[in-house]
Amino acid sequence: MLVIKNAKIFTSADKVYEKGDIVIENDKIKAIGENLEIPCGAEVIDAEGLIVTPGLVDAHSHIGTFSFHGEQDANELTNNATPQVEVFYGIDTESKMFPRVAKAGITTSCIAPGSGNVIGGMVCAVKSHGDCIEDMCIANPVALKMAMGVNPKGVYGKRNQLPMTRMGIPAVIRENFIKAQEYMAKKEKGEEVPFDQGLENICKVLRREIPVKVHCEQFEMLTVIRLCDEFNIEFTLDHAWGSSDFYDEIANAKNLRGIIFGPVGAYLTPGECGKIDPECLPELDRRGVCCSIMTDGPVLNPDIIIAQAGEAVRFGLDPVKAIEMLTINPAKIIGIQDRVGSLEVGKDADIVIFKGQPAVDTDARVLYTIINGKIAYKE
Amino acid sequence: MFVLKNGLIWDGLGNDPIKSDILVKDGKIAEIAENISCDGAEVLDVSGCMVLPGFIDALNVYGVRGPELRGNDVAEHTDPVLPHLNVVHSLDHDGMNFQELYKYGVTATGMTPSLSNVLTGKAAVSYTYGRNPYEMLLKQEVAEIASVTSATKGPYGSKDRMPMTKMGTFWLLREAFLKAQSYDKEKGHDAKCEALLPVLDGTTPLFVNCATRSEMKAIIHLLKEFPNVKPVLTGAYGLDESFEEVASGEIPVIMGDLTDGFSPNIANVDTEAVKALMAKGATVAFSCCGNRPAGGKEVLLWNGIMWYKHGVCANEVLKGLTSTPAKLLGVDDMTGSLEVGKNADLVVWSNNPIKSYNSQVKAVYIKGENLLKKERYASCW
Repeated sequence: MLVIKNAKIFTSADKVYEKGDIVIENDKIKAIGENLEIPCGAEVIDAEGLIVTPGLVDAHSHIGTFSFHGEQDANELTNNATPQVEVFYGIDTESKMFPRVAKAGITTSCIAPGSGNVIGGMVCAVKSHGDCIEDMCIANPVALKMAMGVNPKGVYGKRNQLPMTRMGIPAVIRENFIKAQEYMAKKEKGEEVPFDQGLENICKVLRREIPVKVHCEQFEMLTVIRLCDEFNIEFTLDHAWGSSDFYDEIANAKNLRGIIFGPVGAYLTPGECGKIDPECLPELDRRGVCCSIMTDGPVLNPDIIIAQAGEAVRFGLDPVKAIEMLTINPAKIIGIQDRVGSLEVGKDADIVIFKGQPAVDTDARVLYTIINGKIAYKE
Repeated sequence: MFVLKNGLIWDGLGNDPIKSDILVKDGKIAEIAENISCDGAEVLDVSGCMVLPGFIDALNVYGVRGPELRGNDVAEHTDPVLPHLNVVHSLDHDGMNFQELYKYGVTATGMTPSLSNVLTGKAAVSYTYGRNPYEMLLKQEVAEIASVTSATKGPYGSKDRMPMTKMGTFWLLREAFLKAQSYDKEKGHDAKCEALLPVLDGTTPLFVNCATRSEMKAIIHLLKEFPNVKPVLTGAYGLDESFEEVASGEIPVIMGDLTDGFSPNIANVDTEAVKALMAKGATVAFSCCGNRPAGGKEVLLWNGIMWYKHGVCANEVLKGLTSTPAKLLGVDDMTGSLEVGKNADLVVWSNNPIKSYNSQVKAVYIKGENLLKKERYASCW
């Protein structure tokens, strides 16, 4: 048993304890509150003067699929649509990025295939610590990855293949989704159809079991909103640069699970990378859009996830909301909020202890990262 | 002419902030004192705010890289030894303006050609907003840029050209200096040798991009053969306490970017050693240079913040973002600190940006002109 005592606790469940305790039994939170009785024999961390938050959830990452030596297992660039593949099998769980993200306070990453294909494959949610992928993965699949814009154009256009243009991309999406609709209809009627794993996976989206996770920026977010309405499927807008131009459209998108914003801190170039606006986060939040902040790992040093939340605070976001955008909001968007994202009895004991207020004090640093009730990192 | 009244003035020279007024006249800082009154000067109350020098990104490719994501105007990868190029001619003011660096208090930037050449040309310093690239320049030919990282092998080794290895990289660097050393103008003009003469005699510093400890040790060894060369190590991720030349201040350092997750170097930076070297008297600037081609407007401040988080005191962090890069780039007579006589390149922050994310830029002055109130030049980017 592990007990954290006397901490200021941001639960991400509509409650802040000025001086609270958390009792952890095995891998779950057993109790949370003020002046809890400490079970005898429990290991105690006295967190007087420290700040406790839920483990951070990075809702869009590729860690373990890109190595420092240029090797990659994120993009199966053999067809513009590969819905049949699962990133689960492409993750190197020995990657040094896992201990690095744990050190930064990230306890769960939603790991996605890259954006080289229009339909890239199945996405899963993975803890930052564990023995192997089966042990670390808490949900698979959580989404189907798709990508708009220059990435798939750059891969296939160069090969004189579809898509070479922005208009080619929705054509690829429609073709695959209509095929899947037909496949599903035939199966529902009891007709015999040859098994197709890719179409099976798209059917999960059509049945609204999982959302599509779409790499998109600027005006192409509007294309995504229309496409997802057309097929009545849930979706997330990933990257979402330029959202401040489209508040109404985003707030009114009925199938939108949420915004997964980032990374901030990129060189600006005309077009997709022309506007990067963390200032959209306070306003989208005000309009009721579920927003989260991502590192696109390993693109950014994992520590920067906090700096990015700090940028939202710079533009007026309430610091408690900033913590929610790093914890419960991404958990909800991914659909794993029953296990992680907030500090509540029965949830996984994924907890970060900070010295300093994250996303406000620039020198706030992680003293402990606890994953599944065990100390995965200690300063 | 205007007075900023009642702000906390943080000079960028390593001193604590002090409450004071600051008078700006003809684009320069005319006076720093309490209770300044000056006839005809507009009075701007900045009570509760901090006034900082504009940040200076010591070395980057803002404004010179061009609009393409990869192909660009700094990568003259036709020859690994091109010391005679001048980066100024790649500067596109529109490309610089587009980055909006001033919105995060960055008023000047050092500009370097590609770090994938062994010797790649002359760096320059520019303001971060303007209408005419040549008028935006603070100074050109401020340093010769060299690189000895693995990046130098990329454009050439794959084409069966030297350098394919670091042996090749270091040889090409040494060969260029040896040639320049025995250069005789009478026997015919050689632009490369000409370009290296001011480096050989120490007039122009040599900025060497190096990522690992081995590269840093090797370049210091190689340069002993050319004793007048004044090196500055950039990137410098392999710094540890054994670098006595750095501890003594003899070899300054421009620390590279710490935000790029793809960089294999940054996870291993010995931050304790950097702090210890600074305590002994090392000259250290904090920058976005190194492996990363370029980040966004937030990244220089983030780097400063990361060093603060690692325990460097805020006064030293600010110094490393302002007066130290100004000194290393040879523009400290004009900018980089809040002192009488310097250009009024200053930023009004609502709070301490090194210590709190809850800090907003209220005004950004370059030569006394507030860019946040200035009409934007039309962009074709």
